[in-house]
Amino acid sequence: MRKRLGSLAILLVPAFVLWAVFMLGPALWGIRLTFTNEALTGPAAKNPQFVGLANYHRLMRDPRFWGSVYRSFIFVSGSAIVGQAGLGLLLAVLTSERRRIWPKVKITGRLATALCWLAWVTPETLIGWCWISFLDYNGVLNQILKLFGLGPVYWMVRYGMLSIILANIWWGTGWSMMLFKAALESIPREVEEAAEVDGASPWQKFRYVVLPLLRRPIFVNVLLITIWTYGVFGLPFMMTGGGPGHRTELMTIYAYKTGFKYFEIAYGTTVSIGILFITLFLALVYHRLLGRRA
Amino acid sequence: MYKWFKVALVLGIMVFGLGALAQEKVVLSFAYPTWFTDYPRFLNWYIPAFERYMEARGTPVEIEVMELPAPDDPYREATLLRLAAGTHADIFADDTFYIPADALAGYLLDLTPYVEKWPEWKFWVPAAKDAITFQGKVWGLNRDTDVRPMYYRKDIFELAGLPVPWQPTSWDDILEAARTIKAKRAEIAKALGVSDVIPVAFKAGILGGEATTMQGFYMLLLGAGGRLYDAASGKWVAKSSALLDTLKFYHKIYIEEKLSVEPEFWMAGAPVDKIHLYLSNVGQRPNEPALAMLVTWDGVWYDTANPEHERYIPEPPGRDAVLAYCKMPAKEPGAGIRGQDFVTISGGWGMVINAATEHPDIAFEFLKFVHSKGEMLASRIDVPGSIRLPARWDLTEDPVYQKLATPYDIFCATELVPLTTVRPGLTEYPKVSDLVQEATEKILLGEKPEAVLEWYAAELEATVGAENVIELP
Repeated sequence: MRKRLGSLAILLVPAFVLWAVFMLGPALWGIRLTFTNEALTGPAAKNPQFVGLANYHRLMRDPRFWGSVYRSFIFVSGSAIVGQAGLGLLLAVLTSERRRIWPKVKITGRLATALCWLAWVTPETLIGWCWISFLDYNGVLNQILKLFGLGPVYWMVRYGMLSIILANIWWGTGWSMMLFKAALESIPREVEEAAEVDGASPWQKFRYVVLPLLRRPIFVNVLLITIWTYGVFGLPFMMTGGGPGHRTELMTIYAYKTGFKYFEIAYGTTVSIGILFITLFLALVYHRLLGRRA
Repeated sequence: MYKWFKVALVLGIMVFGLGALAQEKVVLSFAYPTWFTDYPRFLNWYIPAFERYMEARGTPVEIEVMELPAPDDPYREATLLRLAAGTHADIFADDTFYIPADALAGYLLDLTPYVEKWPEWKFWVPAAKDAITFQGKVWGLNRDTDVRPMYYRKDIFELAGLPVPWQPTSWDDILEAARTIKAKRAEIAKALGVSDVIPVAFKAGILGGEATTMQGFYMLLLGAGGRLYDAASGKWVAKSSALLDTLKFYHKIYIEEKLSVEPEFWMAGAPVDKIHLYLSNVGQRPNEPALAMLVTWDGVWYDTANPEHERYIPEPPGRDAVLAYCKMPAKEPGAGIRGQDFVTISGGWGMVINAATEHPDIAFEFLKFVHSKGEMLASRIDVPGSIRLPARWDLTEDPVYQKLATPYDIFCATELVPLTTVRPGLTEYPKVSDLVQEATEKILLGEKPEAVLEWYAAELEATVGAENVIELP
């Protein structure tokens, strides 16, 4: 046994080295950076100074950061929790092959599943371009509206937050839908049949039998997509760049801008650490909730 | 016999190896904005010509081109990331307003000892020297500078019943002309075959980047007699009536009177590119509007006559029939900086050497080559509209050069250059410029000028420190 453990350790070395060099190392370097005033240009680029907790003090009192935390919260609530999880559950139930709601559901259900899945596996940049070409001033939506003598509207400027929420729902719902579908299929048939025998209506069956059994997958899924969505950057950045003003500036966009637009790399890293703590905190909250419910 | 063969082989390899060493070329990398009109000239002429020149001098050199993203902001980001990582080109172009910050960052080679030994340095005009000098040291070489006129569309003015040629003498003149055009916009648009007519535009918003600050905000601020930095006290200006007047003017044209594009125009896509396309739209893009008045970079005059440029105004009617230029007036006559009636501002790019280069002497040879009088003159002949306002006075006085001057060049050199000024050559300037862009965006979003000024003052204080700001009447 001991010998096996020893050879196991040897076998793990290459993976550990890679992880240490490309993950752990940069992470530790990043944390070290937050205690300096390192910048990409100006005097601090030449002689970065150790500044202690100054970056964290600044972060605590930075209204733009807290504004971005609030906007990320709106973005996550709207696009991940209400949108992806809610819509995903609805679609999963509607397209479920076991409980056909109407006879043709098999074909349409499979088609809908395939389409949602297709959206989820499409690369972020492609999704971004699709939505830009749809919502742009010269885009498809305004062209359609023009046929009815309406518009044009700068959709992504006037309804920036709504635009990025919709795009993110469109992008991510496939995941929740697949996860919920799998969970629905795993509910024992007998439980539902028993409810039917007791005379439960379809809604009652869903509310009192299916939903409670889905609680755990729902929690796990909401936890996952919350964390993912807090980390989403590319799609909203492509669509609005955080603008107009700071109206769609999510935490990730603010971190990027601090680092690569204002070139304050140390403070940008501090913002990223802030994001890390916020998502970690949320993960803990979910974990506690999940533990209690289970 | 066999032994001798081996010895001969070894000797042969050694000789060959030494020969290869002696022949080994010095490789220098070079980065330049790909969107500049003379970029192809670097690829097709400067680089091969310099390589031949160095070969003839017995030091073979190879220049490798490092292509960076375009335009300004991505170029800047790529530049700084490469500099910080120690992987940037040996020679690269830097917008002169970044030179102070980059010099302090230790990225740039101090060229002072090089230029002091170079007899041609004395030909640089003081203003051009200033642009590449920081803290008494020279950090790069520049070939030319630029200015900003106001362009207007003669065809639109005539259709609106406005006089041509036109030279406004106050902001009110601009507003009055804009109102007149606005009243007839549908009619004029129909006559031109465009979707709409926009009376006037001043660059604004965050997406506009430095163009917002320099070609929009600054051109107004100087006309109101103000600056971002008060040289007398050595402090940044947090509040002044000129700042407020500038913000109010933005508010007037974008919000109050709606004499320009919709405010949202500046917050989506690539607005600076688009606004220039509007200025040059004479009906070749029937689904887009035409713009009647715009303050912008002086090179636009040449872009609009260059068939390969997207801003080209096709013939007929052609640029000369529809586009004209004038000076940007102060708020009122005499209200501009230094009591001027008209204002403009200059910038430009410099060519700098990476402090980490292994071959500083050869890199400086390349700079000398590109900035020699002969090469600058040849460039001027080859690329129409290039090097309009040379950094070297011996070029300006050259009879061949003078013969090439068009009336427009003479207008820029004699009417605008005497009025010009520059942005503060300070490390903090790029950050202050970001605040200015954000301030204009706040106006576009409907905030009141007074509130925006309060915001600006607070942010400025947070950016440069309370001890470095001043409030002026």
